[in-house]
Amino acid sequence: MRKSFKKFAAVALSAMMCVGSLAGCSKSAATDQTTGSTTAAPTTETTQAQTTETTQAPTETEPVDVATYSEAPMLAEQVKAGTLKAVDERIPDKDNIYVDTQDAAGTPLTIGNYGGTINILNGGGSWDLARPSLESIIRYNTDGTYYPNVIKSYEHNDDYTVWTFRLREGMKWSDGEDFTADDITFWYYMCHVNNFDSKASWAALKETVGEEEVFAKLTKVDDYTVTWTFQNPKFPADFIENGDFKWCWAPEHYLNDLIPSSYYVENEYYADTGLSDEQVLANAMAKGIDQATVKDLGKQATYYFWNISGIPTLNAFVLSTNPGNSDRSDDLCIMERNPYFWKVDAAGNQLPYVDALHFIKTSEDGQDQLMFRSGELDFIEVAMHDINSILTDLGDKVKLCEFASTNWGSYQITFNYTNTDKNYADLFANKDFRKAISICVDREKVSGLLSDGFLEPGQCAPSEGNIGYDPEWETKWTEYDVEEAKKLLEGCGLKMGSDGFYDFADGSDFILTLYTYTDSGASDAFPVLEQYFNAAGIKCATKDLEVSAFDTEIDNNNWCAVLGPHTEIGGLSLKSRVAPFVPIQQAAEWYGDYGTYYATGGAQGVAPTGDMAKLVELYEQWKATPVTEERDAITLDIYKIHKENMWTIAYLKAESSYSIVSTNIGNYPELLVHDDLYQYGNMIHYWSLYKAQ
Amino acid sequence: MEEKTKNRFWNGIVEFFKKDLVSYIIKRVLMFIPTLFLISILVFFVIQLPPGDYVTAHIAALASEGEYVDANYAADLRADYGLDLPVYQQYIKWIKDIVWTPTDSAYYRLYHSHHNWKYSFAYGRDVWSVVEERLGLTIGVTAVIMIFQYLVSLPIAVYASTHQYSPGDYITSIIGFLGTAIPNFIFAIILMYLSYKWTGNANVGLFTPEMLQNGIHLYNFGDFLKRMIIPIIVIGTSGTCGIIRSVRAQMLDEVAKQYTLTARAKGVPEHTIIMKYCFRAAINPTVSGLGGVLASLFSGSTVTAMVLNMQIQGPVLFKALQAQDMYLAGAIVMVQAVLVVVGVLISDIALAFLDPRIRYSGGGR
Amino acid sequence: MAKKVKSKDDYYLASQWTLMARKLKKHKLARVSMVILIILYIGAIFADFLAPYSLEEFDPLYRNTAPTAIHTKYDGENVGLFVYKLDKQINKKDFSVTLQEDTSEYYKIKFFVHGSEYKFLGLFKSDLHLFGVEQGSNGGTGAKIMLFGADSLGRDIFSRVLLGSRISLSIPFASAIISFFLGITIGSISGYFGGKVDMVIQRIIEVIGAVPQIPLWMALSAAIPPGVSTIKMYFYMTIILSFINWTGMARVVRGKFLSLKNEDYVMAARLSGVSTWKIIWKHLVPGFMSYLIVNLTLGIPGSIVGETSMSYLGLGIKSPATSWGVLLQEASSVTDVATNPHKLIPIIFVVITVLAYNFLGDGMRDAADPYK
Repeated sequence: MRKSFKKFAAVALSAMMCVGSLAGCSKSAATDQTTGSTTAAPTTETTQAQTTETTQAPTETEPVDVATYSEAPMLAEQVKAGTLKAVDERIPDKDNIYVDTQDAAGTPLTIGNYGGTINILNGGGSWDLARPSLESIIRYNTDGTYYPNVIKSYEHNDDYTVWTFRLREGMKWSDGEDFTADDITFWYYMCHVNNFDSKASWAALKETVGEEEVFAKLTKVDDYTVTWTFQNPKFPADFIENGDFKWCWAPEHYLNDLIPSSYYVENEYYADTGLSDEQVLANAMAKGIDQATVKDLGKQATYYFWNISGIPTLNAFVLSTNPGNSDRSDDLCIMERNPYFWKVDAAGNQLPYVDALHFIKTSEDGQDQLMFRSGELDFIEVAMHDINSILTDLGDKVKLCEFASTNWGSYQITFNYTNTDKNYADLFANKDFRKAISICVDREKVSGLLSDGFLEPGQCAPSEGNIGYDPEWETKWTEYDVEEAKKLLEGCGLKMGSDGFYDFADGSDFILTLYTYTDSGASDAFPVLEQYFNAAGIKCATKDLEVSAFDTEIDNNNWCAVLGPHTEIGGLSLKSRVAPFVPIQQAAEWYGDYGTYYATGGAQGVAPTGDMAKLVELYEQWKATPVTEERDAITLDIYKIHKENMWTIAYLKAESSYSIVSTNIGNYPELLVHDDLYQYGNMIHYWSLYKAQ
Repeated sequence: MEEKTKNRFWNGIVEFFKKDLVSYIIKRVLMFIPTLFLISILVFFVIQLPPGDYVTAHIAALASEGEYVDANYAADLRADYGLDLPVYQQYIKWIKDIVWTPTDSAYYRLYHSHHNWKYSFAYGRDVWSVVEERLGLTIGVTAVIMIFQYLVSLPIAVYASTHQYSPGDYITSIIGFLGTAIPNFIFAIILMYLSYKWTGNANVGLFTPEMLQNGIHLYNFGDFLKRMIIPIIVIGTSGTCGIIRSVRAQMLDEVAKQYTLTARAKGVPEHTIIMKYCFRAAINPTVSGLGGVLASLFSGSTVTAMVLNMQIQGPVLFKALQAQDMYLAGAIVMVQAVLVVVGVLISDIALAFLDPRIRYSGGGR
Repeated sequence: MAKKVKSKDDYYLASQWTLMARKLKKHKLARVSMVILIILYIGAIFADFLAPYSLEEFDPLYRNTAPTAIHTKYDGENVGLFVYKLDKQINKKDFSVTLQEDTSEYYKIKFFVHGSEYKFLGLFKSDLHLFGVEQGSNGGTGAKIMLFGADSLGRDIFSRVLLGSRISLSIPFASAIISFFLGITIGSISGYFGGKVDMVIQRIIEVIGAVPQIPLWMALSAAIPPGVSTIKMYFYMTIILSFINWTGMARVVRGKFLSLKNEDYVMAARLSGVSTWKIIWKHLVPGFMSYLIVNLTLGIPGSIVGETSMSYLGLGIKSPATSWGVLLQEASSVTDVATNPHKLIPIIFVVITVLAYNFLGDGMRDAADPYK
């Protein structure tokens, strides 16, 4: 996975202990019983993890018993007019409803008022509408704990081979049809296994048996229960905690005439539709879905479904059908409240509070800041250097909220350890070289130059509050000392040339070419760092490339060093993503072609040696054990190797991202965590936001 | 372009002219064909020039959203969109589909149209629907701005030329030139911020969010006009310089000519001389330059439109070029080129009404 | 009387250039413009010496600071021009930065101070700068004089404007000259030979004129290999700008050729066996050279503004190399307009230069006007 350099950060405030034992929660009773606290706050509603010790949920609130439901005035009118069923018939009863009482950080929510719209920026990407609206299988809190969300509960058997999902009875799609186990079997056999959604590659529902990759077997037990059966143990980290596995349903009643026969895979639940590709495209066209090929149709309708107007969802907000506002590329894209949304607040008010989300498109950076100032947007994400100017202009009409970072420091430099030029590869492999690069820069001054001192000097290490935080690691090689750096460089076999810059021992020129990609913000830092490198006798150059061209160079192993990597080292936790910690994928800068070796099963790339190889070894052990303590111990070992080697150098601490929020928006959390696992802005819980009148 | 002949008389010219004009227009329209053909080649190859293609750009975009893409996906996409063919074959296919799509193709069945501008990767729908969406507005906004340009620059030019070297000449010229001299993008940002400071609203974009939802009606038309102020100032003033200069220069030429002296000697009032004779003669080259003004408005407005978040085609074109969404970019450039070529033709015809001396039968422009 | 005759003789015998120069004098703004342009170009040539700092003198203390205040009175006493060092406080709550003058000592502004080293006119090394500040009254260091304030890396904007003018004033000039020769050559071929050659060239001109500039810029910029040196980048930019601009000139030249090629003197030259190229360059082009030079002058301001737009789109020169376009691009954020308006000072230079070129061109056009 790649992240943009402008960090989408996140902090796991939890301790190291959480790594393997997140599944646990208070009432881990028998497997076949639901916790019986379904009306309780989400955090108490969590799972039954059999083998894991339970960890304390952040703030355990008393279960809230909701007696009666009430609804938004606009829906009440429709009920009155007879165009909509009464609220009790639209949403699950109190045993199956989701009662929302606190935000992702554990702060109790206030009861809001209905009405109004929330206006936000539309970034234009496929996921921009999903972050505010998507409801997933489970949901995370900022401390890394999680709880079932769309499903009522989940459980697994003793050896982790059978996972059971229970659904909420009475829950409905946004068009009023019942949401049942059929929607799950339909998604699995008609959309996913056949790769109609183009995501058959998801690892969560697959396992390796012998040489082959096989899919889990999905069984419908009854209308509200399904089981996933594996042949080998499927541990939480590979299944329910896998970041890809966000949903497992599709509206059978709506999509059943859009599955082409050419995609049919034999299964016990559904017969071949017998529809030709062209018939399917025509059916889609009749529903207003305009796609060129069935492949595109599959991907759009069953993967990016929230982007297609008309497709029923389980989300709090559904895309408008109003022409001109119904496409994510429209200048104003509207998502309206789902009248069948299955969450209520502590007082029994059906959520969401606001009538609609308005996504407004802009063409250039900074326009959002002007629109926010003008009151046309309700909150915006801002970079650190823009904060004060907006606060000055708007005063107490706004407040500053933070998304903490899980990144390991900013302004990172990493080297190509699999460089095809042996001179470079050998030099980079030498820890002393990395140390020299680290200590030849005056971090205090860099901090002042690039951030006015707001970003403190740091190193490429987990920051305070994160898993694996270690003050010694954070200050390793951060003492500014040019003379020492020069000594180290000479110790690496470099010889001072007549031009005042170091050459390789064989007399050839040593030039540290730092690759950056456009808009990463890293190229601004280059002139500053260049001065320090030059002062230490290192000649350097820079190449700023468009992201796609940059990636191509990395993929082709045609690079020297990178400033501000596209795929950073480290992050939230091993559980969230493994590749930032272990060289197992193609194209992360810090392990270069070592990752390609693992990803291609040794067909391409360079076989890792030494500590790099050790990481892979530890990872294999980690994968194979379900025992939390063992996993934690292995994780610690992996962190230790990273601390030892410092494959990537950073000069400043990780940068949080910030949003500025209009004070008339209620329930916006003050401190969240920006991470892919948590789905970034999904943590804001848009359904609980309200607009004060 | 306008070849002047003197051996023609006022009388009877109208008859001749009518016949001639038709054949002239036909001839000019026929000339479109090679021009458009050349444009299409240039456009297609210019868009192909940057390294990589839509698929690399698209995968980079997916990756930065956190989606993992396997290697086959790229190859499949290329095959789907025909990006694995040699460039010339892609070109031939592109042109062929624009001109004529066979009735048995999927496209025809979907849109019941013989004309297929292909598929916009970034928008995920057919190119023409994207182009069409903003076409009317683009033409409308461009027309309004063009009218503004002439309304501002013609009086300045006439004043400047009749008061040559006076302080008034200098001051009006400086004002007229200022818009050109301040780079549009920064001018736009400054005006938006000032607008926020003075009125509390920065007026970003041509429409308020409310208009985007409900459309423009009489009750919010005032707001829409307010939103047009900054674009008109920024884009409009950026083109006044050229018009002022050329009209002023032509006027100076005309004012010094014999016929002006004669008229003046015969006691014709000064304003009649200026407006009826000199000015009419002086704006000829300006009218014939309308096409060029149109072209410069299209490209000049792109950067400004991006900065101001104007919902016209320029920013879409720029984004399409960046993302290498080549069929969309190609279609927009082609449409704009056609508009410019048509603009040139219209201005030539307009010129004919202004200046009857112009002969159409003259060969090869 | 004799004097008057002489001046009349002068008038009739003067070359067209002398006449133009004389008429140019009447256009006061044109004369002022010429002086301004000469000053600007001299500034560009001696930029290293005139600028107190180099392009790479970063300073965290001065990040985004407004123009340095210049004082004369210290403790009620007149000590000549001096500046104070700044004292900076940051507040992590609202990310505000507070700057105050540190009045404990003063730093006198001195002339001919030693600073960063440069190669004067590319000939010899020097570290002499026209002005600057050295030590404080109590021997302190670290104060700077930034007449236009500092950018986001604490660099002196005044120095960057001067050093950037080298690129901003010369690229448009160079590209105008290239498009001038391209235009004359192609336009004359088109006009002189006519027929099919003319037809093809006309279509090409029409096509380039009809295609919006942005795709052309982007495509041509994309053709520049990544990571090229500043000098090469400079070269490419020149080519890009001239590639787009030559068409106007070609059209003008062609028109002139069409009307001149059948004149008797051309016919005579042709019959005497003068080569085509010689006819074009010796006999035809000089006939309307003044007109072309006017066009040339008027083409430059367009390129200056064009360069800034390219920088804004990220297609032009990139920092740390500096042009006015780069400076404006760096100042084009809402935050800068709101809180660091001093970063907009480079606009003034762009405006003055563009106006000056326009008025100079206008003046020259008036001067070349045959009717006066």
